[in-house]
Amino acid sequence: MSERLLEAFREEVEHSTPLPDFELISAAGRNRRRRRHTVVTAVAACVLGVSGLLASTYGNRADPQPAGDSDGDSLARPFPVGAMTTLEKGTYELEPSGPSVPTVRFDLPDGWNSWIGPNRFEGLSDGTSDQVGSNEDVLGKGPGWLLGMLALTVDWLAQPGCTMTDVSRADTTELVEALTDVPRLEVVSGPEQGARFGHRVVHLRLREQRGTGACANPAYINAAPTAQVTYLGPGTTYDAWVIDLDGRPLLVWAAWTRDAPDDEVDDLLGVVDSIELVPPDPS
Amino acid sequence: MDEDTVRFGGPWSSSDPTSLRDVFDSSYRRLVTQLFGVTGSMDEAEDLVQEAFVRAAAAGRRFARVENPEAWLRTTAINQHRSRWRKRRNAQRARARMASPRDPEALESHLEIITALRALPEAQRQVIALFYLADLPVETIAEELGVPAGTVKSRLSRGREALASHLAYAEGAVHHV
Repeated sequence: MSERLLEAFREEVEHSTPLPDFELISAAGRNRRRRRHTVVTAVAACVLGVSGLLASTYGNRADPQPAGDSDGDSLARPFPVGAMTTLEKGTYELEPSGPSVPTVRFDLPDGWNSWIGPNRFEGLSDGTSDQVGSNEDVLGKGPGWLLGMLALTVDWLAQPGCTMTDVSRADTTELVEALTDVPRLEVVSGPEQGARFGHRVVHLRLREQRGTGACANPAYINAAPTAQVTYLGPGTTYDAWVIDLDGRPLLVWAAWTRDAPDDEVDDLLGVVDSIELVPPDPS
Repeated sequence: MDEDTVRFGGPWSSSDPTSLRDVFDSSYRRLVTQLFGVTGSMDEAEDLVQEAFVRAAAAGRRFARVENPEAWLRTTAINQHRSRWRKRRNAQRARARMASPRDPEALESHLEIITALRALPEAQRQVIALFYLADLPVETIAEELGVPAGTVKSRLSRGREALASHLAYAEGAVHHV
């Protein structure tokens, strides 16, 4: 009986649904595209030693621009990668590098800082986004705590013996195995398989241990195209979601330093929880 | 070619270019029907499908790389629904909205099945809608939802049973009035 009723229901809805004006939809799409073109998606070329979450990049890219105002008909705005600025509350879209990698959409509370991914740190003021360099100044003073999130396609991972291993062609399992071998990062839970963000995922949590300082390279992740992620300090917790995109892994990496306040960590986990992958990336 | 004219590859022959307008004309109503099944709300379904088309239009010619435009639009709409669902699942406003969705007058004769669909858990309703309203095979549903095929099968099985149970209950209730 269910099948018959569903079939009748389908016919009736298809028959009775009014067609909206396509021109209005097309115009809304054109407007949104124009706004997107005003936001540069490239990455700034600068080295920031304070935080590994605020990764270093060396690409020859256009100057980054801050996020524009939210347009009335848009639910998300491009995340201003490489622009260090305090962001408004809202939904943002981040485009990890790599072919056919989905756009990562997430919700941010008010007052987060932008860089390679969204982040927060002690001393960050909600009202400083218009002052160029002010957020960098706060970071330069060495904030007492820091947290943030990255979405990366990983190319190289640090391994024992001060070596880096190429994981650019690794599948999800291989990337997880390599993550568990990163020096100074101790697995405290997982790896655990499951489904999240609309995909199969492997979740593991790691905690940074005190290092010997023997390795010259401070980075433990090199990500496409040129981002580097460095250690944040002993006691830092790293929540890793390795997302299986038809065999290719996308790493969602959330981290908070030892003294990060609980409510800030809750906000960070809320940001991760809000992630939606938009397949495929048409832009 | 106009900037908003999209030529598709894949199933659409390059000798017979298909514009976004063509996809809109052929797929809009079908997608609204499927999203009605997924969400249990006509208003929500129309909003989600229109938003998916806006995103397709915003992508311009780059949307031409999409092999199956209707599947792309459906996945975009479902993902948006999931995102909204997460945001408002704890909100009182959402509960109020969910409690009294608008039912188009033309569908009055289908209230039984609409009510039964709404009574299903979210995950089961998605699978039931994609299987029966979108005519998708289990493997394709699994790909679109990003879950294993076995999960789809079990949700389909439980959804069928729940749907039949709701319908039988509704029928019984009517007979006892």
